[in-house]
Amino acid sequence: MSPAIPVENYLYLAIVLFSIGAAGVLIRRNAIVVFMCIELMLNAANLVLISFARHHADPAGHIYVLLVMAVAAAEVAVGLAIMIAMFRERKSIHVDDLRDMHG
Amino acid sequence: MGFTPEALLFAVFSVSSVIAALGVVVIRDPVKAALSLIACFFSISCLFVLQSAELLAVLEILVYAGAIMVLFVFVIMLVENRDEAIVNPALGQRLGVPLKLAAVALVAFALLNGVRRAGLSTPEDLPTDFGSVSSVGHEFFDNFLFHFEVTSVLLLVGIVGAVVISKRRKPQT
Repeated sequence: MSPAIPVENYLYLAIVLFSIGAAGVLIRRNAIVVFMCIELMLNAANLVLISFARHHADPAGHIYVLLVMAVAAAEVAVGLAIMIAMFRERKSIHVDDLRDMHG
Repeated sequence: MGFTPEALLFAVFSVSSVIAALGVVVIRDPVKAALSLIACFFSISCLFVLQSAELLAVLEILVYAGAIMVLFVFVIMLVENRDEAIVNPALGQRLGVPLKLAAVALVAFALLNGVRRAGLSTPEDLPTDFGSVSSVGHEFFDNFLFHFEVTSVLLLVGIVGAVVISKRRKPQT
């Protein structure tokens, strides 16, 4: 069985999703939305891994996606805890308000 | 011009995932942005199914759309939710936005060009059980056992770290 969709199409879609996520990370001010955009970028990377796993018929790509999901879950738990601590300290979660290390 | 069902599904879910992803960036309300992100994860998991990664499609829904986004929505409700402009209204910040978008577009263009020139070979034939629980499980526990163990330690550290960081500190005496 040969797939109807060439792998390039999935890669183009992943690049578009990754760029949207990167743009969101750069321009949004709300730290939680920035974090959600990082999740979007991780998912674009997952899509690439799945596409190449399909392309080479190699299940190792699926394992990497599983590991990315586990790392993302740990990252979200710690990151959101940091945001709660930050909100408690500053009453704000806007990235513009964190300028202590700005010099 | 005949569309195969697979091509039609790919078109539908790729367009819906891109629209939902744009929603995450442009919607001002964080709760609605989170809902848009969940829609994006659903579309991406449908694309996983199209690549015969059934197990990961289910996990995408369970882990991302289920666990991670619930955590996000909880934290959005916990912190103050000011309805403010997406971009900092200060002039210097606003002028930076086109620059940032141009940088992202440059990276995207480079990546697209790279894929276009890569000249990927024809895909290989899949075994019938590709992407099933048993095939992924065999791969995981035969070849990636160490990664599995390290992941469990990572998750434990993440749980403990999240509790310690978000714990309310006792007032110092």
